[in-house]
Amino acid sequence: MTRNIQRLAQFVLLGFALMAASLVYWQVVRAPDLAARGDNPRLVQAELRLRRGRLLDRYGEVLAYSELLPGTPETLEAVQRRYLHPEATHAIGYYSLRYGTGGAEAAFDPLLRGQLPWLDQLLHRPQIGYDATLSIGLGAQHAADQGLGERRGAVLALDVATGEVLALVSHPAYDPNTLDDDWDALAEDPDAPLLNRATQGVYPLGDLARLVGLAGLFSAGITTPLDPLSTPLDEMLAPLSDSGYLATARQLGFDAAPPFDLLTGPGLLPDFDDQGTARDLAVTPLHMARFAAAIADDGRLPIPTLAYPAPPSSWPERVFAPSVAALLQAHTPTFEHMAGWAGVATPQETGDQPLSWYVGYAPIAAPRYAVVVVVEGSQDGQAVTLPIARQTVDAIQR
Amino acid sequence: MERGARNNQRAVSDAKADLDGSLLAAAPMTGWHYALFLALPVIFTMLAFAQLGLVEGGQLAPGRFIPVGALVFCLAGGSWSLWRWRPGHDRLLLPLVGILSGLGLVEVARLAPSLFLARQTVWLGLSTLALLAVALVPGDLRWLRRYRYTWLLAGLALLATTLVVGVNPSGFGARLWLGVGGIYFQPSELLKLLLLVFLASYLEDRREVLLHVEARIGRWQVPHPAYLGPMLLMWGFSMLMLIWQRDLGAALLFFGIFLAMLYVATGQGRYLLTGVILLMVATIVGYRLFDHVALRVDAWWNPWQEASGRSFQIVQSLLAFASGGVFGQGLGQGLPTAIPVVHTDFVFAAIGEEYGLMGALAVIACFVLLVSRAFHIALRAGRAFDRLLAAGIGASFGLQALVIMAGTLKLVPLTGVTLPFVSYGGSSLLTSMIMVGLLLHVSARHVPGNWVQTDELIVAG
Repeated sequence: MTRNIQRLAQFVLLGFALMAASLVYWQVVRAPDLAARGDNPRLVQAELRLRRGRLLDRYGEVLAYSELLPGTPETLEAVQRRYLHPEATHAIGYYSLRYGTGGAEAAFDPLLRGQLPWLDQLLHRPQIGYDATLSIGLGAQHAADQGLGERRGAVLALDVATGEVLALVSHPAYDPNTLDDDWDALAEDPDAPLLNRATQGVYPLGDLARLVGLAGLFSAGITTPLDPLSTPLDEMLAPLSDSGYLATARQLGFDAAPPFDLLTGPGLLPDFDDQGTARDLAVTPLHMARFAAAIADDGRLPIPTLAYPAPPSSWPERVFAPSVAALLQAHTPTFEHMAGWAGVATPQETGDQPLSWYVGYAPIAAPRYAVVVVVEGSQDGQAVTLPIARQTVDAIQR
Repeated sequence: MERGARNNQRAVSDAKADLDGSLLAAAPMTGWHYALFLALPVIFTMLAFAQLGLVEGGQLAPGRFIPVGALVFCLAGGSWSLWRWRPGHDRLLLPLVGILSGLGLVEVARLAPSLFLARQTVWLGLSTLALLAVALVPGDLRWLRRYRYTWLLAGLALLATTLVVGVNPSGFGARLWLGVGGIYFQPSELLKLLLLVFLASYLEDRREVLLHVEARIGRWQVPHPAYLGPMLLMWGFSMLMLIWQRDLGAALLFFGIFLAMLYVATGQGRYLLTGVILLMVATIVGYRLFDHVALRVDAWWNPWQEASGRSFQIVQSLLAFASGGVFGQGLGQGLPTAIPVVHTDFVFAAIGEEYGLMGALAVIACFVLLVSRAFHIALRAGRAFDRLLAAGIGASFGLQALVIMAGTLKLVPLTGVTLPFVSYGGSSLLTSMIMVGLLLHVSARHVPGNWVQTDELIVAG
């Protein structure tokens, strides 16, 4: 019987050894990937305790902050994100436990979340994030927002030298404070309020194809004697040829997504083999803002940024010679203190509704700001877009 | 016979070496050592309650330490009585029980509503009294042996009663409890105890027959009816629990205890194999026939596909273990309450999360010590009944802890048994304490140097 008892004891102890090995497997080997599982309730709990940093505009005004709500005996203390300025919604984005992050909240997420040192993690101290300062100014946001009014469209203003985005407005917008409740309705809305038109809206150039063509002609050394505003587009572009036009579009970075903090995408080059025309070239307002900045700043295509101050790595790339920039400036129509090109894309080109463009810069003599305005559903061109651009630039200069 | 005698000689000398070489067995313990060992559970429990108070309420309310006071009272009273009237008792058992039930109080306070803590504290007091009553019973345990069929009948009657008027305190789920005036008792726990006593007595009585009589059908050597009968009876008994009561854990545990004790009595590996095959057949049949068995097996086999559905519990349990890591989140600072019914079935996962790998290994170490002590006591006991009883109790503690630990760690399908001393539950605590009482009783009657004089030699001779 003695031997039997010893064998049984060995068997049971072997079982406990197996438990110990299994513990090591789950608590050490598999711990990292289980801890990161999306359905782990500890993630939500940790997120609820996170003191996310504030978002500030370039003058230090608070755009978004996290409010600490006192906990009840049943629930731990929780943090609620608050947004104060609806005119800056598409630049700021959103932070939601259910839907993640968007806009600057996504771009600067690691900074806003901060890091918890090892000792603080051990002591279960709440993680406190850093504030992030955005390059936008609330005054310019407000002016652009007011200018657009109820119309669908986008306004984007850049500092031509640094690439800092000074204003970024997209209409329609949403209220990030109530996003969790509104999400389904917003996602199904045909006006696509969740879409940031300034960086993700791809619009046909229409009349503005003339500007791209002119840049191509001047770069090729063809200083045409024709009046660029009144000559028919086909006649004007004839010396350039289709491939030259496409090469210019590529040179301006239209075939790629601009490097930017927010989500953006490449433009659509026209397919000349399939009845495409120069007017069909479609790009985002961000593409056009960079182009305008290149015209204003000796042909240097800025790398746009939403951070203030601009990170030092943003060295602009020269896409055409200063002489070309000077020629383009000389041919750009001016109005009061703004220089810029207005244009319309027809329903045939957009496939839907007409839209009006304005692409310009200011001041005329020593340009510092590039501004792009797109208004959907309008054929009025300059009459509707120029005032918006002017208001925005005025607010920036103020 | 010649070979048998040699084998037994060797077994005896092995056991001697095992005992003499073992630090635990050899350690002479003075009163001061004993007091120190008993102080450890008290210090641990007191610190844990203080930590819990600081984490949850930010202050140390004196009322929070009432359970610690109860534990001190139980350990002091228990050790003094044992020291006085059972001078030869095993010195490690009471400190081990103290630390495990202290941890149990801490976990109930952490995981369950406050009313549960008061109940568990009262149960701790009652269970300690039961432990002392059993341990201090004068004479040997002859009366336990003599009335074995009475115990069996009592157990079966209890089971029948539960089948008829059983309830579940939570209002749903398996009806495994008997309720009188708001107090609930789980008869399967008492049944386990009665089973241990009955089997120890039965196997002691039939050992010689079992060892030396073989049956043959033609050329084939078959299990003797003396084996086969009880084995089929036990198997049927377990299946009954499984089918009518839906008590998967108890069925598994009962059959496991039976196999363990049969092996201790006979040392026949092939009957162990037969039992395991029967168990597997039962599992397959159960899987095919019963939804509640199939549900648990499916939830266990691939939990990740239905992590938010029927595998929610086991997935949450694994997430809790993972969150604990090596050092744990700290008592009161994890999220073990995300696991449904964490305070009974998943208390080990809660320990894994808040005390980490270190704490969970420490709990395993406590059980290893407890089980080792039980087997040591079995080895040193003089009578076959005492040996079988102590070995059965050791196997019972070991298997029960293993079944629920393996369940929370996704090694086997989940079954609803408690982690002895630690899980919330009065019946479980009471039964476990009585089992420790029996161990103490057996250990106290051990006469040094007497242990080799066993029936082994009688059989061999």
